Amino acid sequence: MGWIVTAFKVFIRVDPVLAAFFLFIFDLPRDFLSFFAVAIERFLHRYWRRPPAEAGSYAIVIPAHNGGGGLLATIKGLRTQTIAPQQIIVVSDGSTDETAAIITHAREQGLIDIAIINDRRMGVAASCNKALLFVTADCVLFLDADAELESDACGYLLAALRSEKDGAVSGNIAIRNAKASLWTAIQQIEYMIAIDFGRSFLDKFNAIACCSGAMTMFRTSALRAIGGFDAGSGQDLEVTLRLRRAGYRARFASRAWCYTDGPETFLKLVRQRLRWDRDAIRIHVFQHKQFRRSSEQESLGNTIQRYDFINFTFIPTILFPLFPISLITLPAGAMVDFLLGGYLILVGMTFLNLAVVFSAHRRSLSPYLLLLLPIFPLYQGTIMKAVRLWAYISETVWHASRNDGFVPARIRSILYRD
Amino acid sequence: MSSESGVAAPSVNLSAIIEGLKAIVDAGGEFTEDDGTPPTLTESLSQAVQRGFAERCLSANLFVCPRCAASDLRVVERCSGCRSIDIEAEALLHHCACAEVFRARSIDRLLVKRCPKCHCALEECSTEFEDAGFVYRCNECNRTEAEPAVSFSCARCRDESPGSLVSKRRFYRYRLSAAGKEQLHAGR
Repeated sequence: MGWIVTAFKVFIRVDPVLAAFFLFIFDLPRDFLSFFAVAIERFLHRYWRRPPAEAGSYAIVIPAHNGGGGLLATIKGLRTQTIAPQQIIVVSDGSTDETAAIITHAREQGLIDIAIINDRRMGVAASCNKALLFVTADCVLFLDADAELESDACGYLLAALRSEKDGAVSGNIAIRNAKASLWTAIQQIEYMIAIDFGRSFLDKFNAIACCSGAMTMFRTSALRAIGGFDAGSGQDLEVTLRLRRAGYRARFASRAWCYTDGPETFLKLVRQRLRWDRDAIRIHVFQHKQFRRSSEQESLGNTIQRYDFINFTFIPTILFPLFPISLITLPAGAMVDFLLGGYLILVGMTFLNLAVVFSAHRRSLSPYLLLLLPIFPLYQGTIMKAVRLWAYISETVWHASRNDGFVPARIRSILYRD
Repeated sequence: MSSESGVAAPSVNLSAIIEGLKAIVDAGGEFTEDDGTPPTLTESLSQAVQRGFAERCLSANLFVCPRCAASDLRVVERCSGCRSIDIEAEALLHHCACAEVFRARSIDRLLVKRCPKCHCALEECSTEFEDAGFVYRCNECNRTEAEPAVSFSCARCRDESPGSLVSKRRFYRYRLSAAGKEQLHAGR
């Protein structure tokens, strides 16, 4: 710990104001407080509750565009749930691979209840809305085609939708291929921080902005009441914000685990994040106008949710380019001390953060992840922040998300014609 | 006519083969099998083909009743819930601008004139709407399904069988081969 104190002294002595700016930009205040709070809560409730045996009925909907081989494993895995689904509906959305044949076969085998085959690709949102027409259960879980659930996941999700006001609940996500590359391993840490701990903390304040598209259960009546999903990419964020504005709560069930594959190469990871961040700024800022109150009677949860995005995502990102510029104001020769001291502080704080996260994380973790500690601040604070900044600029200036292949070109031409 | 001719079978019932050849001659040189053809005659014809005395080509590939083997089957669509036949297909429309998918028309009438979600008029924004398949609604229990339960009703024995029990049968058209004609001319 001595080296952290020494580095901190060097760091503060050079320029205290710039040091505070540095810490703010690199997300430390937000993470540090929330992780401790969640960890303490978990230690106090260390004897886990089992999901209730009876918690209402639910349907599962899997929209798949070229879902391929992983789809059948996902479907078969659903049969192991401790609380069985009332319906399993699978949609092949204009697939050109064997997806349609797989789900037709699964229907004949009785593995699924309804097979919907769209000859022409409609997009995820419309496919989910089409499936919603056939749902007869109280709740409906939307699942990615490659998602693998733990056997008690649906029980925990159902248990979280206790009240009529609970509109949606997302589950915890782990990277299945965490050992595949450096980038998937680092995403595993990122998911632990942002999803397992970040959403657990926000759940206490009813301030969750996005229920992941990979695994979210909705109260069927709530989803129907708001008109289902909207066209365009980032429909998981958009539908969660719309549910919240309609007065429903978005919940998080940390014990409901889902495994999914992360991008294995840096290029694929950057592409994924560019897409997510472009959708985030388009939906938060331009579509839902998150900089102002949604209504005169805005709930505290909605206010916290808005300021969480503004203070801890948006502002640090747009201030990011000011950081290298402000380094010029430092006294000659102090820049190296400041950057070195600052980075050591970041590594030290990340160590403390991850120590809390690792100790209170409920799944076994590979010690290999600890080796990533020295580069994690660089990844999270610099590389991903630069990616996010570029996503914000490209979306604001060029509306880059309009070219996103996630939505069929035919639909985009209707959505974005001026 | 693409035809199949078999190789000689090791054990052959000659009287059965003659019976098959006679049936072809009696039918004017070409015998078309149907669901009324006795199984023994089908077997005789098959043996004649195997022996090389006859040729055959596929004339029909039909679903047959699992009870009486008749091919005169009618498709019956039923509600999977209450088994009622009172079900109606309704065409779905997809509004590309808001991703809404809704029941737009039944077989004889338009159900809505506007998108139920964003209230955009179908006529005014017709280019934004596209067909999105069908749903089947039961008028008895109001259940909505992506596809009805399909069964087959036999016109001969009146039995109704689920689709999973109904299998296909191949029917052939037979005629004498050169060897068969030779055999008949030789009086053997």
